[in-house]
Amino acid sequence: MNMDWLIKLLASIRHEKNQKLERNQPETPPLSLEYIKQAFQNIHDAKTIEINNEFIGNIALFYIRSLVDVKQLQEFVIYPLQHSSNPSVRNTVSTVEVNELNTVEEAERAVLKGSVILHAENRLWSIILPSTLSRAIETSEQESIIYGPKDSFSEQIDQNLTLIRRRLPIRTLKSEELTVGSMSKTTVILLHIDGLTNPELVRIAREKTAVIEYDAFLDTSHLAHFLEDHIYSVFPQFQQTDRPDAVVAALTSGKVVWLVDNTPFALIGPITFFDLFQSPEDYIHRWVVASFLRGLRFFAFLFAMVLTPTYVALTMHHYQMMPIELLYVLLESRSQIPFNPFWEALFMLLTLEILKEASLRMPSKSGQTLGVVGGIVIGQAAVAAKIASNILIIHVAVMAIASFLIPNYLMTNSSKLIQFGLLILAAWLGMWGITLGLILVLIHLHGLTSLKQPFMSPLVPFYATDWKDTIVRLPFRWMNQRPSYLKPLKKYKFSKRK
Amino acid sequence: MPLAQTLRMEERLVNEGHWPVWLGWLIVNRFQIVYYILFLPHVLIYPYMIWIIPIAALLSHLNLRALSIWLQTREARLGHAGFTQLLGGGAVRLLAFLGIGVILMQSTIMTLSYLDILHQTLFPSMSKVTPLILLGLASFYLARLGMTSVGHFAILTFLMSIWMVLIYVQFLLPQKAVYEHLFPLIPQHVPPHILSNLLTVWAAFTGPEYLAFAGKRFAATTGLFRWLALGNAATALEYMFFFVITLLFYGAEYLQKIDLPVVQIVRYIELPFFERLEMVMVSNYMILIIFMNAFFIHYLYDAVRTVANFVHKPKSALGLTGATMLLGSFMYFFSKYLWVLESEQNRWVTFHLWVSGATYAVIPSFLAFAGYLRNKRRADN
Amino acid sequence: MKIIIVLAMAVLLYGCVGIAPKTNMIENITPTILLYLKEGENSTVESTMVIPAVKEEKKQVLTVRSKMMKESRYLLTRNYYREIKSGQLHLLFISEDMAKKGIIDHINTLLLDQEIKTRLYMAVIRGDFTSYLQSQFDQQEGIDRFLYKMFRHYEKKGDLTIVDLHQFLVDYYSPYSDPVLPVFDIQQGQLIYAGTALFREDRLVKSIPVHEDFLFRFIHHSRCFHTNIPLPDRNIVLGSVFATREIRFDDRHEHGIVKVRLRGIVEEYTGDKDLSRPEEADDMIRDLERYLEERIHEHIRDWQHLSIDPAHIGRKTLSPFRQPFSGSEWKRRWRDLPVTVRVELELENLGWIKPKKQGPGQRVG
Repeated sequence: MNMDWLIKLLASIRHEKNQKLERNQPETPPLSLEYIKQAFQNIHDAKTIEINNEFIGNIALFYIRSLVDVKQLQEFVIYPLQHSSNPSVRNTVSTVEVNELNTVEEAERAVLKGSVILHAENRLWSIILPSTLSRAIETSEQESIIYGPKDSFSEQIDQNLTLIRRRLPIRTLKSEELTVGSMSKTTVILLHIDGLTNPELVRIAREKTAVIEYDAFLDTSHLAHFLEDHIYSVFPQFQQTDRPDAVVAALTSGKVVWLVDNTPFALIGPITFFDLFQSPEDYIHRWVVASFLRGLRFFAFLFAMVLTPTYVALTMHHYQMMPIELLYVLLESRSQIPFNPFWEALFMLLTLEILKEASLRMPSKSGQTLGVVGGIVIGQAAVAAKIASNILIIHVAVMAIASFLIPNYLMTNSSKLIQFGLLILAAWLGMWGITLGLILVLIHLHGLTSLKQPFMSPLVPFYATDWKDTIVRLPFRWMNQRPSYLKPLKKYKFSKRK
Repeated sequence: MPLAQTLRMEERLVNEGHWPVWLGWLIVNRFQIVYYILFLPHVLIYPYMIWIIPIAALLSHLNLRALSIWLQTREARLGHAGFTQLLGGGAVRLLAFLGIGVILMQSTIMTLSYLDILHQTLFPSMSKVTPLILLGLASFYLARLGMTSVGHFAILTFLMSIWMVLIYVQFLLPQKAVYEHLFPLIPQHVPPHILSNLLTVWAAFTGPEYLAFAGKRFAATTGLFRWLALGNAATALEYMFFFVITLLFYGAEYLQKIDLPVVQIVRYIELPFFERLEMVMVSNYMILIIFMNAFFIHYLYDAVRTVANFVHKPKSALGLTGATMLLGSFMYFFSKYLWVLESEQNRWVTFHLWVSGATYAVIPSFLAFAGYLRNKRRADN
Repeated sequence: MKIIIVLAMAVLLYGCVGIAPKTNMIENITPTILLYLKEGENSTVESTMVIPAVKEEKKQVLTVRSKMMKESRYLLTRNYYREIKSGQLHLLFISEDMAKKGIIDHINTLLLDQEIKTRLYMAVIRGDFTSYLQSQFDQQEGIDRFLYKMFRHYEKKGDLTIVDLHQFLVDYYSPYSDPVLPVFDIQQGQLIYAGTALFREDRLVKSIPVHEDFLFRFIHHSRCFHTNIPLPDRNIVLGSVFATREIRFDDRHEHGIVKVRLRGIVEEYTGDKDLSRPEEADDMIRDLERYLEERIHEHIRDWQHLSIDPAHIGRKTLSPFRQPFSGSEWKRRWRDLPVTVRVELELENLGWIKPKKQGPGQRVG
């Protein structure tokens, strides 16, 4: 069917709309202090200060008090201006950053970023003096490790950048500033190492960030939702961390990092499925221990997803698969329960989820008591009242604990959803259903991309050298190459082979 | 320095998603063992028949040589345009029409046989339609990622199915194995049914001919032959391994009575907390079926587009859905009307044997020869 | 738009898809582990099953009579309020009379049921097993479980002949061997091991009594271990006996040699010889060897007369490059094949404190 007529019609409608928009746009007013004052009326802490200097003339300062560091303003601007014998404003306040303003938008943006507008000699300047209100450097609560650096990011982007630059004092660490959010105007800094990171990745990252249209970005994950390729997946496609050492490790491997203002979490991409199981602690333990712990994490992930569904499948469909003693134990424990194994498992899993969510929001004073009530009393009472069997409670508890082995917090909740899906499949189709569910998850993972790079590297596509640091962590001396799936420009880490 | 100049063309193509050369061995290996692995020992029975497997592997080796010669020609790398240049538009459409039939039959017989095994082992009380639809959905879920992704999935398929082989190694140990069952290895007289057995084993090595139509997916085709040969050798080893295992465990006479020896052996294993591993094994096998069907869906879609002359329009998700529905409904109606009695099923399996054996024998050599003729004509001109 | 298509497809498919009936929920089924088959009157089959006791239920033994085996399963299920499932069947006992008449048909029926696995332990029961089971209820509730554990223990240990269905069938189908099964007897309300039953094809032809049973196992298994071998005729009990056997044929397969090597210790000796003196010890050992050779030779001749080959000596005729006899020819030749038996006895410890210069291994006490 020829739809050309429809396409032409839509194009003409769009053209009309654009023309109307252009016509409706008001003209930009001329740049003047009065206009600025008027634009910022009804803001109670927008202050104006008049200074009279015999050499320079009348000087007016306009700023928003809550955004500006008043002490520095007094010390570096007002005092020099009051006592200056230099007719040039730029020379008087030369100790701080002074930019000349040309348009109203620039002026507005400057005031809102914590600058002071200086009006003198019929020109307008902005002096950048943002307030340094910030949190002190504290330990990360999400990724605390026993040995290793304990500082973590805070909400001030400059502070975060300092922490990173201290660890990578090289001139090739490039940072690009971008702004996202039409109302929040959040500063996002894109970091990469020039000459190491594949420029394709940087280009993709930059383009994705530049096309974002939204009003307010309050956290890195909001940004991540816009940068993702697959919004319907339960797996996170970027890594969020508030540890500067993790960020630096990512940068030196050849990844791209986003720092977002007003949030302590940095965004790292591209990642793979196996990156979600890595923790900075792996590089601190001995390599055999670290390999064991990593393997344990993979096993725990699979185990947590599959344990309760296997229990449901065996008790509902495949009684032949259990050894006879276990079967008798189960028969005894299940003989008095009125529910299906499926409903029993679902009920206990939901209860566990409710307890977990509630524990996040409980005030800390009542947290412990309620924890005891929830965990022990409900569990015990459920068994005594014959709503659930002992074995299921053990399974659910082991699963809950095993799911926390995964370092990435977002992944634990993803595996929860998969588990529910597998539970339904197990109740319907037994072991075959569980296998089908796992295969579907595998196909799903196979199709995911992170920053347009395949998510299952280095498995698919297969890079043999990357396996030194995926499931096992081989000694540092053997890991002389950077991960190949990032296609870094410099493959070898050691300087003798460039 | 621009990145493109730092990489060879093959690496660049691999980065864009084309299949690296070594992927050939996984694809060949998984294509070949997908159907016959479960019941091949039941066909071969006697210990001296084990030599048929290397003979068939050798023939298959020569065939793969022809296949790799074809894949290295310029026409293979061009996809549909190459075929049109080689054979002419009308012939291509006719062959695609025949190909639709072949693909539908192959896929249906393979899937329905697997569903039979599933029905027998796991769910005797469930209708076969449910797993059929679920397998179709899973294959579609894989196929929607595109042909190149499906090829890459061979790695995951291989990993998920190869661990099953490790379970069988315990049957080589003296506790469960009776080594005299393997003797005699050299027959005293010409065994009966040797030709039909050879045909069955030859059919067991079929599968790679479908790679002839995926030439443009490979990043490079030089050096492809050694990987294809490696896949072929791996298949032969797997077949021999399973045959030896089942022989050691059962003995020739008992083996005659068992339909699916490879599945039945697993029932003997007793782990501390799991028995009856054949449930897990048969379920795991499904990934091979899904993988093959995803390929078949793509080939079917391509064949339908060729026949209906839609080749110039881009591929769409709706079209792929249509191809899946075509395959699914064909399987459904086939299972309802043509796959009911055991005698019918045996006839269809024999038919599958002949058709797949024929396609494997003919397609690579025919295409290689056609490519060679065209090259000669081009060199003359 | 895509969502509508998907939903429409789902609705359409729902009609085609059959929801699996949940047949196997463990609270709705009774998994039995013991099945006993007996020959009833008028060539009916009597099947007995033990229903496991779970919490508030009482343990029961159910017996039904029917013409065909599967029919008996049908009747058994009707007799009890839960469906009886045999996926966990571990023990298959057959009465001696039925064993004499042939059991392969019944086994075939069992095998056709996909749920039953081939790792079931089989045994021949002499005596009234049904009343034994019923009498056990007061004393031991889980008699079927205990029996299963006993079989499983001895399968690894080797003091009793333990055969499972798979081994039985391999021996049955192979022309070079014949199956065997353990025999249990009910005496004074106790189930005791009474030797090994030898089968020709699937019919019981002879039972080896328990005091000669170990001789059979010496040649049946290529290596096995026995905790105790009492030989009261020679006033000796051997202990920790590790037996290996080797079977060879001469070049033209006209003569078979069975060599059994036994290694063990003397646990008890009540004869007159003084084992601390090497000559007498050697004497005793030679005498024992000859005795064992005679006994084993007797058994082998017995088997040849009955034309059965339970020790699968026939398998040893096969070699990678030769198959001298086809299956039927072997059966013919086996009847008259001369067989020599050689026993080598290595006693590591003769049970007495020996003077320092002699013998291996000093034992105190």
